[in-house]
Amino acid sequence: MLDKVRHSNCYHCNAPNPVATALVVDIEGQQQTVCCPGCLAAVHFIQELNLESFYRHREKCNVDAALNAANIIQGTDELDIVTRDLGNGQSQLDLLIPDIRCVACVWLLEQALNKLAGVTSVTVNFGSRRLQAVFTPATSAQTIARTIQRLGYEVRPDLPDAARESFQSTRRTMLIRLGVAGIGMMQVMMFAIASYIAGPGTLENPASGMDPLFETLMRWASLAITTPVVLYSAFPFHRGALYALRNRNLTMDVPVSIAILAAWILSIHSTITLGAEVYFDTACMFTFFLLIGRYLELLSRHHFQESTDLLQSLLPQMVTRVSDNAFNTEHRIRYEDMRENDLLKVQKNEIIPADAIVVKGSSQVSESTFTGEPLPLVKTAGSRVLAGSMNYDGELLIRVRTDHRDFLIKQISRLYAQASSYRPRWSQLADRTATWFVGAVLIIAAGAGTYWYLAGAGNFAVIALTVLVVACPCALSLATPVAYTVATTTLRRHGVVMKNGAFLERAANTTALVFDKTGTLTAAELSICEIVSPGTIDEKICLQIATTLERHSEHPIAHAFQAETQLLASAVEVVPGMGVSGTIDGVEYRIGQPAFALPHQHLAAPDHEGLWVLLASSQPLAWFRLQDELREEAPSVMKDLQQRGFYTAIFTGDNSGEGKAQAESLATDLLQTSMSPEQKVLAVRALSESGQRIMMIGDGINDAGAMAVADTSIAISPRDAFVQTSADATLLNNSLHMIPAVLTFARKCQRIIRQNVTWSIVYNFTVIPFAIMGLLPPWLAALGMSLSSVLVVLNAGRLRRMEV
Amino acid sequence: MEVMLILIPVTVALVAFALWGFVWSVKNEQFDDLDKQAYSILFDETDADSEQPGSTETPETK
Repeated sequence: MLDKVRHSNCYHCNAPNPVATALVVDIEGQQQTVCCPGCLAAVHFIQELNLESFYRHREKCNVDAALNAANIIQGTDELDIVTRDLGNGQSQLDLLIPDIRCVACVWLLEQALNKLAGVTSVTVNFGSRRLQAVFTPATSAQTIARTIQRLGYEVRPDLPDAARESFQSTRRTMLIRLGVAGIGMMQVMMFAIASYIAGPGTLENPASGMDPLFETLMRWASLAITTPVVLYSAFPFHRGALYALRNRNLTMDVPVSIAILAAWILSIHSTITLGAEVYFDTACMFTFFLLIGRYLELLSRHHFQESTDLLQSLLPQMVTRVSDNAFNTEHRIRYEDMRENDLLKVQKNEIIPADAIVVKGSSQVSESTFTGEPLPLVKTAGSRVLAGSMNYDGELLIRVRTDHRDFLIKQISRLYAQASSYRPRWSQLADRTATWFVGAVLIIAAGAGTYWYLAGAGNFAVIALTVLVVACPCALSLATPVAYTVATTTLRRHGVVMKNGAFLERAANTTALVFDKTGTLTAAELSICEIVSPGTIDEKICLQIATTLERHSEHPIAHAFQAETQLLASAVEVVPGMGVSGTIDGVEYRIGQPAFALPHQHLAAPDHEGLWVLLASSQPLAWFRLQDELREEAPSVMKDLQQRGFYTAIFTGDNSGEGKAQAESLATDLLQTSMSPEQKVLAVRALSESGQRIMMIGDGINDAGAMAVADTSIAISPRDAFVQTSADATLLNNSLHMIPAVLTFARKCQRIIRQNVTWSIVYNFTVIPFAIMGLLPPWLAALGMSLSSVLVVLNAGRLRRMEV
Repeated sequence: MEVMLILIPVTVALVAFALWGFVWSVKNEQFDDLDKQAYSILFDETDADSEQPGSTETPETK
C-alpha cells in the first residue's frame, strides 16, 4: 500500500517526514503519510468531522500539531479575560489564530466549531485572523480552544485593542453613512432626471410637460430621501463645522456644511411654496462624493497600521531562552522578560521573536514583511534576523541585539507615523492660509448672492450656493496628505523605511549621489585574496585550522574562511574584537589581530595596505589578507545613474590599491580615497556649496557625519545591521537597485502632488467666475467639485505602484 | 398615468427597504471580511449551516 503514498512531506503540516517513523493515514481513498502522532490525531479529528475537503482547498498552510501542543494556553485565566457574558445566557469568546493562512483554514474552523454542541455562532475573519465564537453554557471556552488546538492551530487570546476597535467602528459607521448617501443619491437623481427631461409644461400646451401633481409628489419623495442623507450622512461635516466655528476657526467643513444645508433648505422652501426648482440631487451628490474621498483616505491611512498591528500581535508571548553557561539549559520566559544579549532558541516554523544575530544553526527565513521579497533567505551564523520574520526549515540559536522596544517592527510603526504625517513646507503654508481661503470663499459667495439680489434676480440664493460649492477647496486640502500616505506605505512595502517625511520631497531634487565604498558598493562579505606563509606549515592546512577556529565566531571576518576540513577544535574561546583561540590535536592556535595571535611579539603585517589576519601557534603560521567584493549590481546601477544625468562620487576611507581599482572601475565623476570621516563631511559640504543637491548613500555607521550634511541620505543596511537612525531612509533589502528606483519614485511622487495641486487650483479658479455669473447649475457644480476630490485621491493611488 | 401616484411612494418604500438591508448587513459584519466570501462557493458540502449564524442544530460530535 505504501507505493500509493504521494507526499514525502507530512500531509497535515507539510513538514518533511522523518524517514524511519512515517505514519500512514487513509484519507479520501488515498494513503498519506504524516510526520508525527500530533498530526495523525489532527487528521483523524478532521476526518471524524467529515471535513477532509479542507486539504483540497487549502493553499500554503503549515499547521504544526506537535509544535502547537507546546503553546497551549495555560490554565483558564487567559481564556476568562477574552470571554464576555452576552447577558442572554450566552458568552462570546474572542481568539486570535495566527496560523490562519488561507481561506480553507477559515472554513475548517467554522465548520468544526459549528458542529460542537452549545456553539451558537462562529465568525472567523480572514484578514485579521480573528475568531469570535458565541456559545451557551452547554460548552465552555476551554472546549472550544481545545477543539481548535486539536485541528492543529495555535490559539491566542485576542486581547482588546482600543485603536483597532475604534477603527473598526469608525469604518463601519462611515460605510453606513456612505451607503445611505449613495442609495439616496441614486433615487433622488432618478426623480431629478425625470423632471429635467420632461421639463415644465409650456403655456400653450400644459400637457407637454410633467403633470404638476407628479412633480410635487416627486419633490416630496425626494425630500423624504434626502433628509437622512443631509442629517445623518453629512453629519461629520456639520459637526466639524460646528467645532471650527466654536473655536473661531474656519475649516473646509464650514463651506461644505453650509452648502449642503443651504441646498436642502432651499429645496424644502421650493417644495412647500411650489417654487421653480429643487436641489435635492445636488445635496445628495455632494455628500456622497465627499464621503467617498473621506472613506478612501481613512482606508489608506489604516491599511498600513492594520498590517503592522497584526504583525506585532503575531510575535510570540513566550520565548525559549537558553542559558549562556555550558549546560545550555532552556527556560520558557515571557516575551517582555527578554533582554538584550539573551540567547534564544527558535524552532522551525516559528516566528522569529527578536532582532538578533544568529549564533548557531542555519535556516531559510522569510523577511517578506520587511523587504517585499517573497523568497526566503538563508540565514547562518553571523546573519541578522528580524522580529516578525518567519523561520522555515531549521532550528536557530539567536542572540538578541536590542531591547524589544527598539525592534525594527516597532520602530517602523513609529517612523511611519512621523513620516506620513509630514507636510511639505508649502503645504503647511497652504494649511495656514486655508482659514483665509475659506473665509474668502464665504465672502465671495455672499458677495455674489448680494449682487444678484440687488440686481433683482430671483435665484440669488441658488447662485450663492453654487459659488460656495464650486469654490470649496476640498481637492486642494486632500492633494498632498493622501499622496504622502500612499507613498510611505508603498516604500515600506518595498523595504524602504523612511525616518523623515521630507526625504521624498528632497530626494526628488537630487542632482548628485555620493557613495561610501565599503559595505555600500561592496557587499561587505569578505573573502581571502592573499595568503602569506613563512612556510612552517602548508598553506592549505593553515586554512583548515583557521576555518575550524573561525566556525565558532559570529564576526563577518569568520565568513571568509570556508575551507573544507575534518579538524575539530576544543577549548575554543572567542574574544570579541580580537580573535579566536582553540586547541586542535593538542596544539593551541590563535587567529585574529596580530596583537591577539602573538601577544608578546610585535609583528607587522606583510604589507601596510589591506586587512590582515594572523594565524599563530607559538610562532606565526600564516597571514591572510581579506578583501570584499563589489556588489554584483554596482556597475550596472552606477551606469544607469550616470546615464540619467546624476553627478556621481565615491568617498571612501579605503587606502588599498585594490580598493582604488574597484572604485575606478565604476567610472564615477569624482573619486576620493583614504578619507577620514571628517574629510568626508568637508567634501560633501564643498560639493553642496558648488550647487549640487546631494544624496549620500552609505552604511550609516562611519559616515553618519557626511549623511547629516547631505541633503538626503540612504543607509543600505548591510547584512548584520539594523535600521540606521543617522540616515533619512534605510534600505532593508540590501540591493543597490533600490537607489534608482527610489529616485524615480520620489520624482513620481513629486509629479503627482504637483498635478494634484495644480488641478485643484486651476479647477477652482476657472469655475468660480462662471458660478458668479450664474451660468452654472448647482448640480453641475456639486458634480465637478466632488469628482475633482475623487480624482485627486485616485491620482494619489497611482503611487501604490513602484517600478523596481 | 394615475399609477404614478402609487409608484412614487413605492420607490420611497423600496429605498427605505434597501437602506434597512444595507445597514443591517453592515451591522452584521458582512462587510468586515471581503476575502472569505469569494471562496465560500468552493466548499460545497456542508456550507449551508455556516452561512447562517444561529442555525446550527447539527448533532454534536462527541
